[in-house]
Amino acid sequence: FRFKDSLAEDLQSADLVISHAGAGSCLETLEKGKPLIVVINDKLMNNHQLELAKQLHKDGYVLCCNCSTLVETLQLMDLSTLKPFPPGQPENFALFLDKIVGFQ
Amino acid sequence: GGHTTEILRLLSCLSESYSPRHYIFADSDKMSEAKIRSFEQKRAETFPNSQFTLHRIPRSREVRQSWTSSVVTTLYSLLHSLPLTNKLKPDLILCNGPGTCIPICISALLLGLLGIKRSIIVYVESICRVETLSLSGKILYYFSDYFIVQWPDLKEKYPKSVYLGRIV
Repeated sequence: FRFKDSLAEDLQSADLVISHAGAGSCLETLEKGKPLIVVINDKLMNNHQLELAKQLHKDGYVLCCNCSTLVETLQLMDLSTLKPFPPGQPENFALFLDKIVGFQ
Repeated sequence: GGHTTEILRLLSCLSESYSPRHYIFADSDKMSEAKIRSFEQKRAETFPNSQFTLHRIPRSREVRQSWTSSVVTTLYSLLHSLPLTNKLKPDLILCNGPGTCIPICISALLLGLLGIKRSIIVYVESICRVETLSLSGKILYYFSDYFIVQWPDLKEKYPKSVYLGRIV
């Protein structure tokens, strides 16, 4: 599994995803509408990865835990509490860029 | 990897007026080329006259590389990026945070100061940055023409930034 080009197929067939807090992993999973448990690596200092995981957790899109609490989380989890993740809107970026560049 | 995915998403809704597209990435990057080619291939289905080029420059900084050695490696990248930027003379530079963007932006700023070419620099901070800016972000907040953030916390902390919500 070391460096597969894309996890898209695996994600599509999964019922639950457990992942590190990498943005790509989190977002790809959420966009496929799969329930996600984010495991935070507390050994990485100044881990800015935490920012996104914390925010996603705060907004109710993912469950969070660390390595030692993973088993407990799996036993007690209620996935129905997770909210569906709305997609980002690159069209808003395109509109903005068109404006500043003068293509209107 | 993350930066490339994000930037391709940013490009996904752009009209064909944004052409030709020149992609610049680090020589040590093994995965971006495939992603870019795949994106452009798909794009060519809708816009058959799509034009793009790929360029590699030395990586300016490894993750968590020390300050002093980063300055040296960035200067080395600058030696490559200055002639490249001068050759391409971009009207618009879109970057989203990898160290690779710093020497390109410095080159563009220099070319602007010398009256050779004025490029618009648009920086989009990564979606992962919710509360703090990346190092590239902290630098380019002052040197970009438009600095876009994707979370409201950052808009509060950096009032000159533009907040458009989540755009990737």
